[in-house]
Amino acid sequence: MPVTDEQVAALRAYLADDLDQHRQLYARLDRAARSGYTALLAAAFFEAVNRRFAQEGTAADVIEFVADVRGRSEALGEAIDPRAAERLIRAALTDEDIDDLDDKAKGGLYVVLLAGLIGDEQLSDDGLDELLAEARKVADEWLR
Amino acid sequence: MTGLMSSWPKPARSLTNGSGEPVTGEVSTRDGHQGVAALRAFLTGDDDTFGQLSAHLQSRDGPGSGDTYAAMQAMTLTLAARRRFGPAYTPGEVIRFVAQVRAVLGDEVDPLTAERVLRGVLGDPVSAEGLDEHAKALAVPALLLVLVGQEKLPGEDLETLLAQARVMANHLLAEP
Repeated sequence: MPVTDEQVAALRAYLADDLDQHRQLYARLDRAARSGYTALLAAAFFEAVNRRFAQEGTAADVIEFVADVRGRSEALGEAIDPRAAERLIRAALTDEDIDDLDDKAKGGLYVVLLAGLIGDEQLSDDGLDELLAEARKVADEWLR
Repeated sequence: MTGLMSSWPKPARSLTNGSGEPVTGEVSTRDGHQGVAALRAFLTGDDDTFGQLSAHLQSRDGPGSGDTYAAMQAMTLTLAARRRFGPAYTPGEVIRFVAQVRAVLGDEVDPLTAERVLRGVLGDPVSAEGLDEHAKALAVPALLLVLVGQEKLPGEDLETLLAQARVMANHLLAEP
């Protein structure tokens, strides 16, 4: 089942930092729809990572980005496992194996790292829509 | 540059920071001088001298030679870190600095261990408790190398730092 407008709207609200709206929209997604939402989230993460690092990013850039996100609050510093986060980013750029990371941990990292990537990009509304459109295409492929 | 995994033996007793568990031991003036010289060689990238001094001290003193060197390392790290971060450091500063260390020296330094070591010497000894000794043995010299390297200390400032660390290390090792 392809990604729905409701899933896109829920993720868009999160990335636009409209957390009340995000919570309301996410709460309306049933279990099957949340699976699609997770695919969209992962696809958006892949898209954002590639935009940030694919051209000129180095291993050091990945390390410093993760540290920057962790350093934004004490809670993030404790919640994000730096090595797992770095591996997740590298896996989006290469064929690094991350099968040993459990899905829950990966989901949590997608959420916080994607927010960090999008926040740094300071995307306009149109820019955010464009990124989500790209992510939607990728997620639709995955869900086919 | 001397590899982080030098052939220096681990200290016979745990030396994590100035507030950690005290160790006992006697340090002769000669030991102190050679510990300083070995650390100076490490920090200035004089691999040959470091190798010669570490081999000499290990052959002469056996496993106990690691205590003096580890004490010197720990006290130099304490002084350099406090000089760099001051008392009002934030967790984010520690996290970002450790990332710089790993960006410069590579991924073998475990980030969480290095952050805990650094917080430990900055006045939070609890955070450095229970660390894996191998991971700590990689983190301490890496932190020190980048701290001292970024400070770009002229020779005399490095000597002052090492002299102060030597006094503290001797106190630490002399504690019952």
